[in-house]
Amino acid sequence: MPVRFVAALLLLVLCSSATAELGRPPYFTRPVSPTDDLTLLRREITAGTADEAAWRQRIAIYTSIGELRDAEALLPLLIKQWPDQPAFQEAQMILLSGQGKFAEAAVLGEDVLRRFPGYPTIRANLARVDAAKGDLPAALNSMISAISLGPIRVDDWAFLLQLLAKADHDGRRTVQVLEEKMAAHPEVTGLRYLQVMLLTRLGQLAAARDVLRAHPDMASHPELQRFVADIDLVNPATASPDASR
Amino acid sequence: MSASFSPRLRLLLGLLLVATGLALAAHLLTNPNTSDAPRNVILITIDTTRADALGAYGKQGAGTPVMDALAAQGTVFDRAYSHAPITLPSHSSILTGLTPPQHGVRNNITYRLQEDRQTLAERLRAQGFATAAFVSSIILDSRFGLDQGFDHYDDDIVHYTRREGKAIVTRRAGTTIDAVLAWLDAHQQSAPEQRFFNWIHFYDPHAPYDPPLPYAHAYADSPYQGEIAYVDSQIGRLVGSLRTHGLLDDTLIVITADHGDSFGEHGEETHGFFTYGTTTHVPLILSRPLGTTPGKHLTQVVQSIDLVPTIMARLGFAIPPELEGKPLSSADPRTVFSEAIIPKEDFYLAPVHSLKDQDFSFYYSSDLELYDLKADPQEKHNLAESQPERAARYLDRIQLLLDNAATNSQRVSVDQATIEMLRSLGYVADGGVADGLIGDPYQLPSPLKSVRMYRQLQALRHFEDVYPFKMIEGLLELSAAHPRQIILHRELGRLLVLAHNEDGLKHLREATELLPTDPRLHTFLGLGYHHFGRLDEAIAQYEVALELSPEHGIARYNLALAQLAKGEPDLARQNLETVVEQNPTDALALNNLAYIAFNVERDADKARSLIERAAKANPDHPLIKQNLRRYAAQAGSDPAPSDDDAK
Repeated sequence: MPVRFVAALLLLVLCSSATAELGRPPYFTRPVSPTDDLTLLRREITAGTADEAAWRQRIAIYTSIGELRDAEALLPLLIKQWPDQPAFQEAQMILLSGQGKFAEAAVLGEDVLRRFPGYPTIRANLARVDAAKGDLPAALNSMISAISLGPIRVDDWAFLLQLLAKADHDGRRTVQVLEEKMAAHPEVTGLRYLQVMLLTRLGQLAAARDVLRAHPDMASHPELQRFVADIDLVNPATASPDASR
Repeated sequence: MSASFSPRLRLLLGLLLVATGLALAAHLLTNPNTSDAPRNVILITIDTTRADALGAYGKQGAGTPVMDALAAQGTVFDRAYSHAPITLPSHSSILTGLTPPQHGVRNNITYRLQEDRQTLAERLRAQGFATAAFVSSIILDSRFGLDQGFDHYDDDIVHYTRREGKAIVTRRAGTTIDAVLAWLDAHQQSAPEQRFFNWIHFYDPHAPYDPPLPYAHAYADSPYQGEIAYVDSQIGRLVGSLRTHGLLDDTLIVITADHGDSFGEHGEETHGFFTYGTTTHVPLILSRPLGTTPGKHLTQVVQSIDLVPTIMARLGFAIPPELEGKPLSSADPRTVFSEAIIPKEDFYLAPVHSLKDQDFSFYYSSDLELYDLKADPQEKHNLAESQPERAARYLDRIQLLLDNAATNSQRVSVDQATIEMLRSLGYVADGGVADGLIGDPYQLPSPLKSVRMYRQLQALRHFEDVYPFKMIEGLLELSAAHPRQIILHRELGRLLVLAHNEDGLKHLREATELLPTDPRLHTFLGLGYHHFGRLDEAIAQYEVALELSPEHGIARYNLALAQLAKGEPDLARQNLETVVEQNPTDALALNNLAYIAFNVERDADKARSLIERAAKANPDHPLIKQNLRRYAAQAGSDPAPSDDDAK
């Protein structure tokens, strides 16, 4: 094999450009086009060659680039073609919400939730619809159930914290309410994880550490393990210069 | 008979006593009781940290209990300003006690602190201190000169992931503190009586804001604040360790930042473009009180260059006369000089210079701005037109400062491997441009009037890695609206060429036509031609760049590559040798010289020698590691397997 020499890296980074089949990022040319995609989808449905995964990818791109509204004509066809694929219905819910049709969006979201209760992102997105409708308690419940099911995205956490801040300015009452709820529902681990995050946010690092230490299953992520290990030296009650005097 | 003094003698004695008292008071102010002097000093600089992000500065729910506790024991300076809104120039000021025009480091990446500038570490090492620094970003790599005076300079940051070419160039506070604590332990074991000076730099609050768990979730709605809370917890580990070693009471901890961060104020996101208080107002906390009252907040305007004289005085040493700052114990009024060179050097806009005093701030660029800081602390109402005489006085002072700037700034020849890494941090790394090549910088477009374009450009950059087509579309719109903005043509050209679209050449040409004296633009155009195999045109552009700036290492490196591609290895070798003469640690130039030695000259021993030099300069680069193994094997001697091989 010949020895490689280093090409000029400033510009000549070799990147695969988008292919006709979407390809992989980075996309130097626009990989989606509402008009062309609609034509393609109709043709594929007629020919029986439509591929669900490829269309999910395409809708994900519309969402990522902030152009889901341009996929409006595609979504009904996709939902009809794959009625058991919640991703298309969830996209439709987000689209409706973006159009201000919150009640319609909520009905659709609740239907998806009923049919696909384990679908990972539906709760957080439904919570956004609830919040947009002005139903903060429902939004909060949806978010808490979302974190109970497993990891949620950082922007979902941000949304949850915003909801909590609206309900309770400094979070102290929330911690108390959480403790009551945890006592009533010890099986809901998401509540305990939320408690750790709130304690961290309130600067009660030792308390957060203690909860994680008592529930090592919750601290399986290496960063949380590191936090638990670090915090023994961090506790400001013992680490402040005052304490040494 | 009792002794009596004549009235004149009494007067003289009285005057002498008063004078002695005044001198003593002055001495105590600048050289406080040395019995109270700390034995050790730890300077902590937290990158990109706004003063108002800390609890000690009034931020509710800041998550900074450790820094707040140190502040409550020491002294807090409510109005401290840095001299540049970017990392390397600002740190150069913190460590030398000189402003950027005097220490000569005006921008990141393309400058190096000159050997003849004295750092605090050099001064304290001369007093017998052990000196150690721990930095957390490649921007403060030792190649940029801030290692001067440090016995130990821990910039062991860069490493490569398993995916070739992907480098990690910053480290989290926890990793940095691990290194600090290990050093402290070793120091206490080996030389517990030796006083020490540590400089610890944290990079975490710099964008992108990505704190570790649990801060990532706990501060998901404010990840910048999460980074600061995380850093605070790591400072807590340091404080805990100092106590364990019995060092806490003997150690002065100084906490400050190189600059702040903007969240839309003045139209700016992040920092670097302006020098408003948003990005130059920094925290400054001393863990030991200046006077007798702990926790005092002082409201006088102070500056980063006051730190060196302050620390020297607090330790009981004479203050070097060449320093521009004053000890923080001095109530003398300051006028703080700051500058933003990025608009000029990275965006082809006019630079910004500013002065801030207790009452006003003044900004000199292609626009003039004057703000009454008491009435308008957010700097929103420009008074330059309504108070022209005051503005003129500030302008005269700035021009005097700039006229007296040291003329011997040292440029750094950045190598291609470094460019790769810096781009991953979002830095523009194109080799810099020598002063004088772009004419009168104050005739360049105004940063103030260009900020909307700049902000849109920043927003588009978020798409660059995954959806560059969105950036291309946005740049096309922006360049149509701002046809004379060179940066837009350059970026558009670069991306289109990456997209294998020859329209990119049109935009790169447009950029060179707008500013034909900038070697960087000719280099970009050369790279574009090279990409499309138009080697003669590429070589011609590199040669123009080198005619404009013979020291331009990137142009020469790429000229060599074009010559190599054209089948002119002798010319390529000569140019690569020149690159290595200018920058003996240019690992990729050495790598390519090894390639020529091996494949063209058929000299395996020479190839091995060159690749070993490359590996010494950049031991972790995956390509160099690979070639080291290959050439060594061909030379008949197999080096010990690397870690990668063992995995």
